[in-house]
Amino acid sequence: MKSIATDAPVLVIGYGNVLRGDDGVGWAAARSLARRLPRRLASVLMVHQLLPELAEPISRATRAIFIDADERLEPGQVCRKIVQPLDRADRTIGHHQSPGGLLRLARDLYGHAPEALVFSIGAADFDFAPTLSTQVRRALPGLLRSVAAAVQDVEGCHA
Amino acid sequence: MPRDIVIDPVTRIEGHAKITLKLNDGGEVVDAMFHVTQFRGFEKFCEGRPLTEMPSLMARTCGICPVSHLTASAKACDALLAVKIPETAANLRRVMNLAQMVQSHALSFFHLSSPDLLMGFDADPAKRHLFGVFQENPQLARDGIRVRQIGQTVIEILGGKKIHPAWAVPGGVNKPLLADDRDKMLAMLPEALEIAQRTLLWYKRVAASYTQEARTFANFPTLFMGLVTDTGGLEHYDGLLRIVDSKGDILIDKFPPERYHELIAEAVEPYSFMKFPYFKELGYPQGIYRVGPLARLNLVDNCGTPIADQEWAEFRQMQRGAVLSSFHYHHARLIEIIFGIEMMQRILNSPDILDKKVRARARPNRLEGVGVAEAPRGTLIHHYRIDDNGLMVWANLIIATGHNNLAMNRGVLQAAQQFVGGGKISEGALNRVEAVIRCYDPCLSCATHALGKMPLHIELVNSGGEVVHEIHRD
Repeated sequence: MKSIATDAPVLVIGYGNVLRGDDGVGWAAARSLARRLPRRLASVLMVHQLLPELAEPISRATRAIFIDADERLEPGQVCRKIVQPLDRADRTIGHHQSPGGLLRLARDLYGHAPEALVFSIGAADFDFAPTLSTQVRRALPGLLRSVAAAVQDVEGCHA
Repeated sequence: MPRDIVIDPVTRIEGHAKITLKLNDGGEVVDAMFHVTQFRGFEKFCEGRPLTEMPSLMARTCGICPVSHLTASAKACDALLAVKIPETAANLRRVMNLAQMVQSHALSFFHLSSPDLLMGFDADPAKRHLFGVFQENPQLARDGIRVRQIGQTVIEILGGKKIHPAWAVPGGVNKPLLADDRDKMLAMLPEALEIAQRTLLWYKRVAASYTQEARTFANFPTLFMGLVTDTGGLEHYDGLLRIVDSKGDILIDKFPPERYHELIAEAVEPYSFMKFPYFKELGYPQGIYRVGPLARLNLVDNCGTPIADQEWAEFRQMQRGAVLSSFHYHHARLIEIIFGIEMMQRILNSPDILDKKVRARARPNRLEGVGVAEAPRGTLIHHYRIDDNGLMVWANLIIATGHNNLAMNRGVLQAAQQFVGGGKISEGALNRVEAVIRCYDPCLSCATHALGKMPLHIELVNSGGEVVHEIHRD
C-alpha cells in the first residue's frame, strides 16, 4: 500500500478543525510550512483527524512531526515533546487516533515507527470561528521556526 | 424484587447511548430501552438560511457519512429548483455516494465489529479491540485500513477533500471530472475488489462459529424498506421505494420517495432523543421495519453487478423469505462493498463520465422539495420548505439509524433475554447486547443530528425504579 506520496524523510502532519478557532492552528502551520520547506526534505499533510490510514505513510518516514492545539497550555505557549508508540491499547479506538496510537499502528502493521515529535501550541479559543486568536497568531512564527529547525535537523543527520 | 440493568456507554458505535434492561422479580429481562442521549437540532438552526447553503450545511450533520447528507440535501434542492440534473452529474454523485458506502461499511466491519468476530464475544476485553485485530490478524487490519482509504480517496478526488466536501450543489456538481482523476480512481478499485472478496471469504468461515448469535441478535419478523431501480435492482442514489415483509413478499413497490410521508410517520418516546419512525399502515409500534444493507439485500430482485449478484444469490439462500437476523448485516455489508466497487468501475468506464455539462442552473421554482438516497445505514430523507426568497422555513430529516430504532430496541431485548440472567450482567453478555446494536452500525450523530462518539451505559432497574446495577464504558 502506498497511496500518500511521502518519499521525503520528514512527514509533517498539522491537524484539527479549522472551523473551531485555535483548533485550526495545525492547518495554519502546515499550510505555511508546505510553502517554506523543501519537498525533498518534508511532505506536509493537513488533516481534520488522525486517521488509521496515516499509519502507512508514517512508517515510511524517518521523522514524523505532529502539530496540534492544546487547551492545557497557556495561550500561545509552544511545547515540543517526543512521542513514542502507545504501549497500551485504547479500547474505544475507532476511526481516529492519537499520535502515539498511529506510531503503534505504523510499527505493528507496517514494520517501522519513526522517531516522532509533537508540537503543541496553547489555545485561547475553541469557539466557532475560521480564524485564530491573537495570542495564537502571534505565537505562530515561533512555532514555524521550531518545526523548521526540527526538519532541518534531520537533513543534518542525512548529510 | 424487579430491577434494572444499565449499560452506559455503548462502545464501538458512532455517538452516545445507554441501555436500560428491566428485570422482574425472578431476575429475568422483561423490557429493554435503547436511549440516545445527545441532541443538536440541525432541523431548527437551518431555518432562515438560503437553500444554496443547505448541502454543505447538512453535510456537517456527520463526520462519518457527510456524503450521504450532501447527496440527499442536493437532491432536495434539485427538487426546489425543479430541475433534472445532467446525467453525468447524477453519475458522479452516484460514484461519490458509493465511495462513501464502501468506506463507511469498511469502518463498521473492520474497525468496529471485526474484534468480536476475530476473537469471540467472550474474549478478554483488554484484547478485544482494533489493536487486538492488528496483533491477531495484521492482514485483516491492513485490508480494513486500505479499503477505507480507497473509499476516502475517491471522495477526495471528486470533492477536493475527504470530509465535508462542498461538491454536490443544487442542480448538479461544481466541477466536471478530469481524465487523470478518473484514471486514478479506476487504478485503485481492483485492489479494493480483491480485498473485499478475500474478506467476504474470511467472514463466511468465521460466521459459522456464531450460530447462537445469529439466532438471537434481533432475529424476528419485520418489514424491510429501501430504494430499488425501476427494474428492482440494488440502488443507492435514486430509484423508488419498496417495502417487503418478512416472507420477502412485496407490500409497496415503485412508490415515489418524495411521498414518503404517506408511508411513514414518526413517534417519540420520553427516554430518547432519537425518533421512532414506523410504517403507518400497521401503526405504532407494530409498524416496525428495518433499513440498511440487510434490508436492501432482502428487497431487491438482483444487485446488478456480476460478483455481487453471485454473493447475493448465496446470501438469500440462508433463509426462505427475507433473511431476518440482524447478525447478517455484517454479511450484507461486505456484499455491498463488492457491489459499490463494481458499480464505481462501471460508471467510471462509461463514455460520458467526462462530459463538461454537470450543472443545471435555475432559481427556486418550488416551495417544497424532498431528496431521498440510500446512506450506508439505510434510507435517508431530507425534506425542505422555503419561502419566496429561497430561504429555509422548515426541514425534516429522517435518518437511516432512526428507521432502525424500533428494531434496535427489540433486538436488545431479545439478546438480553438470551444472555442476561440472575440480576447481573457478565462481560460477555454486555458485549453481546452492545453487539446487537453494532450490527446496525448506528450513527447517532446523524440520528439526532448531533455530534459525538458512542460510548455506552447499561442500567438494571427494579420495579420500584431503583438502579441496582450499572455499567459505564468510555
